[in-house]
Amino acid sequence: MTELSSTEQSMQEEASLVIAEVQSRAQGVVDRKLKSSRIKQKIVHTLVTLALPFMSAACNSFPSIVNLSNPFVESSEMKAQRNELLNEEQLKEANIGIVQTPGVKLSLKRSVFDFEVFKDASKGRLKELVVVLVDDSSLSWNAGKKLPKDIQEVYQTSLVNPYERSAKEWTQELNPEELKRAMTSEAEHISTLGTIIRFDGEFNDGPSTDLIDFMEKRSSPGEVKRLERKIVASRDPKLKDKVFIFVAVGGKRKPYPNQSYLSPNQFQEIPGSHPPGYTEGTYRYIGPTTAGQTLRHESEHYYNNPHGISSSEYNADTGMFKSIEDAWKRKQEGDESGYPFVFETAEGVTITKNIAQQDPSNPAA
Amino acid sequence: MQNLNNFDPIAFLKINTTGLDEKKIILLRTFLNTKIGEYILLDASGHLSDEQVKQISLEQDVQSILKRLREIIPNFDQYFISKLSDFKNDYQNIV
Repeated sequence: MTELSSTEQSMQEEASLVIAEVQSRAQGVVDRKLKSSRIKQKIVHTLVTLALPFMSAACNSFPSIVNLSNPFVESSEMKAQRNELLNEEQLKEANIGIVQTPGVKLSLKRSVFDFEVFKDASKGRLKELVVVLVDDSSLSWNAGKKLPKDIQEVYQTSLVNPYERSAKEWTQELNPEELKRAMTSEAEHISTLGTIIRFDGEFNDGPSTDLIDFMEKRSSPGEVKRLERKIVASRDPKLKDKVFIFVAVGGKRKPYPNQSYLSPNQFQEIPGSHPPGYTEGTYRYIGPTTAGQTLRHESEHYYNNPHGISSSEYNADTGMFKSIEDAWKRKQEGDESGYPFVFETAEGVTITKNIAQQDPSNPAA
Repeated sequence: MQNLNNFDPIAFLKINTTGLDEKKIILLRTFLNTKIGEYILLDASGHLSDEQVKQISLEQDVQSILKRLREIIPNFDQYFISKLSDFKNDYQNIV
């Protein structure tokens, strides 16, 4: 056990006093409000249990910047590397928006412009790139309900509402009870952890009516409804030339500091993986599915050149792997700029944490 | 100007965190968010009928509560922001 010096002891005592003072004042404010309230004790108890989730939901429901005259303070770990990170003004100048969650905050290093999609936003070739952190373990239908309303409308263009599906849309015949269970299950959880939604260039036209006709003939009302949502969004001038990247960061997908500094040796090529040719390509690599890795993969789906490099899963995975390979190589030379996605949670900072402080059993994380 | 998604009660209330370690700051942030949430919910209940308060307290889903409050309280977003300011004033003036 390490003994504390008298200075450290005194600092700790002072810190405890500060906390006690703040807690007492805040509780006093609530007590006064309670006294002037006429509601019954039983209901007060219920409201109190809802207070924290209510605050999270309410703060998250604001679609845009609001005028609160106080800055967002950052942790000491983040302060230490502030020079490397893009501040609010720089993000705005680069046409980049980030929708955070109550428990996870994403910051970006300047080196994020090595990714084409971020570079195109900063050069004004996109009106905006919005990175949306989703407070759930997957990008399910229900997870979207936690997003601000304007973002929710974009999110829902990429998903079939399970409750709008017909029995035929499922891969097997289901009786009504099974169908209900399947719908509820899909609404709660799917395997998707990230997605990119584009309203730029050729993607701005939305789906073709031929496609909708085809889906209608196949009795796929859920997919038809999704395509209709996509058409409405595609025609919305506010969304023109915008790109959205959604990443699940809730539940078991919450970033942890020991996921920092992914290395290429954590990935394996999937046997039999293949690029798109006559048939649709496959995913290429298997490895840690961290929020940072998902962001890399989704960013690599983006392309913006007249030759139309494919944005298949295979190529996005290839781009993701190459970016990690490059980042790791640079890190060995003392340059950590290849890891531009920095997540801050209650557990600490992910991606940029000092490697000496990491779990020694997982040195490559 | 800030995005409310990033709302930090510690910054909002201008609390000096020098000397506090990271874990304590996070716990304090959670505590303050809870107290501000309680404050706003208690205040909002004053705008509702007994029946509406009862209905809201029976809701399990905060999104539904938020939806109901938006339906009942005119310009709820503005109301929410003004209550944040009220909490701050009360906090700074409490003796």
